[in-house]
Amino acid sequence: MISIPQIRASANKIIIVGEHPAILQSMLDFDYLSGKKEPGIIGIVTGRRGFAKYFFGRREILIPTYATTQSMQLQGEISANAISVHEVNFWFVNFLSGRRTLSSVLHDQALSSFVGGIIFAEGVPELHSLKIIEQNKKLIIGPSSVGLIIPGILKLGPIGGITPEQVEEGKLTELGNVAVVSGSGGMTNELINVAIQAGHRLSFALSYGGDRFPILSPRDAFLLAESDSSTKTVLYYGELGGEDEYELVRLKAEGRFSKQVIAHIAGTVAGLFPESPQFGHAKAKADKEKTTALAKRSALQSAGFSVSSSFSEFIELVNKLPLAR
Amino acid sequence: MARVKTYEFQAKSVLLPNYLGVSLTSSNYQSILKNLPKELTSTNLVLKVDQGIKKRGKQGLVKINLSPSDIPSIIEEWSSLGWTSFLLEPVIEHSAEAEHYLAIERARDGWHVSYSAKGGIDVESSWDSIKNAVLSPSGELPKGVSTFLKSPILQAFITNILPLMEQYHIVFLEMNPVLIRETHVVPLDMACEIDDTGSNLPSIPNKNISESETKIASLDASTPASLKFKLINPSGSIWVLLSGGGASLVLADEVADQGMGHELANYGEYSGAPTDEDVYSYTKIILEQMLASTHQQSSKLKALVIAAGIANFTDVAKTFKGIIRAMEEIKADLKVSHVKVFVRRGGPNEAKGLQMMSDFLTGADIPHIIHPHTIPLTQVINDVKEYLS
Repeated sequence: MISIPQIRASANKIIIVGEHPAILQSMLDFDYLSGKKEPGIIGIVTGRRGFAKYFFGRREILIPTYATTQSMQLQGEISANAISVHEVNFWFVNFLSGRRTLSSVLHDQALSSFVGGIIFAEGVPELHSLKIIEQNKKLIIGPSSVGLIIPGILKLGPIGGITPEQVEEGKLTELGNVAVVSGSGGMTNELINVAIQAGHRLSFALSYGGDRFPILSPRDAFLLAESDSSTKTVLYYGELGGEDEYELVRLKAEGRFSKQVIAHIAGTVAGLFPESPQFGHAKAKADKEKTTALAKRSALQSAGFSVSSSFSEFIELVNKLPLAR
Repeated sequence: MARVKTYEFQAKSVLLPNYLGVSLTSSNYQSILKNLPKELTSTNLVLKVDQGIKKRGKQGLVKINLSPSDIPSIIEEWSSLGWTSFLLEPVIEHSAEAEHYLAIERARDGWHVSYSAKGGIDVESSWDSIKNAVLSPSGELPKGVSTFLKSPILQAFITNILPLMEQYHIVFLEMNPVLIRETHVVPLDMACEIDDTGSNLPSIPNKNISESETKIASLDASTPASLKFKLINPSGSIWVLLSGGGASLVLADEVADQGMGHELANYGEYSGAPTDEDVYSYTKIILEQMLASTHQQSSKLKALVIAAGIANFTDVAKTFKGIIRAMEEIKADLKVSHVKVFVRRGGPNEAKGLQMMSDFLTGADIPHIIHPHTIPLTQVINDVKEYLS
């Protein structure tokens, strides 16, 4: 799997599968505000061959659209950009519906040369995610992910917002040392906001998604943070349901993760119900004691992570975090 | 979009060869009993409530050694208690010692299989007798481990059932009791969860849900967006209209963490880019429910929390338009019912959305507090606490 430093060290080019104009434009705005000379998006698979109009800064640009990923001429796109193929990371951003995700990600040979991508759809069947997990070693984030952002380098998906004001206010073009890893799309943005308001800047942020089996697991995300020398602290948001947090505990116990973590696990409100209800995300249901928010908080705390007992406390802990010099 | 329970009848029908059970409901049982298959008329029968509930036997919702003529009165009795779905099967004679326990769950690393030779109604008292094994995703046994899976009959049963579980997106199966005979395995009772994003098997609706919950469930089913609502305590003071799976959980947690859990009237969230029409209908059902309970306690203060995190791509002004339209229709009621509105939202078109909300609430003379994204998410719950105390 590609590392965050490797992503920073190369050019990154993006193919969009499906359509979501507002999100695409925000990715172009991010590139423009980051001072890039050319947009990262080099093609959109819409089912029709042609061009789509977007803006890069004030300049109107035409992005080629394709019938299928197979019909894209990646080599051609690259030589047009006069960059050596070896220095380019190819990414996909998949906006297709949940039931089309498996075939579009796994069975599409054209994507085999990609380093990874994000899956935006909710409602991907669990068994489809598991098939992708079994068969791939790429950096694939999702399903139900709002994406990945590396300040000044790469924005995949709506993460951090879709208006230029959001990109500017989130200081999303300035590299920092705080990583955000979150299971919820909205809370990813909320955590970014908490960090920025406390005066920090991001090293990277990603939403691994609210499904039971995220393709990039929280454990994988922590390993990305560990191997990234820019990252000093990880802000983590998780919820009741599932056992992914116990993998974080194991990682720490095995000595494979050394960075500071401030974690919040939501879902104590489930205690008001006779039986844990199903909350908004597919994974958010505690069917055994081990998967309740309280059990996971105490396990993470015992492992040596800072764990908040309320979200207000989480904000206080971030506010106390020393600023990078 | 998650794991949900399906009917025992459905699970057994797709998983067990030559399954003889028959499904009945409160409304169709008479005609089904008239046309019972031969195998069921000539033997002892067992009748059970089939609605995914735990500890059915202990609640008296399983009756055995019946003949077809015993069935109607039992169904009438159970129907009067609100049960609607039943399962009729032949009784399979066995001794109590023959009752085993078997469960299979899909996890990230493969299939988790749990087994105990001491199954049956009191399995929980012998929980430590349960042995576990993890099979690979393709169903291979762990190498060189001497486990309960050595039994060739059990092994064959599991090997055959895993592909069917995959095919029907069955992610959890609990068989208790299950009989392990010389040539085959016979699950007597079965609990089953499916992943409803992939499975075509039906899910079991919750029993005794309120009218407003039913309305929102059908609204949810009619749109690609997600609209969730759970009534917790209709006489509570705190009503919430929240957006986003994560932020809604954090805000509801905060109510409980601040010692106001007993005042939380509902939980819910709208997300996945709902149209303003969706948001309007959703809001209207919740506000009507709130006012219905408010009328019964007219002096009690009410807090309506319209809050969420910072949207990545949801248009704040657009969703607020739907909320305002629903509030506009009942603004007089809101005013006389001592409702104060607490708002916190961020995201695309935030300034416009918050201004629209402020203009409306001011014009309608409804007390309110409005926070933009620069105010911490949970501050709005501190404000509610201050208001109610």
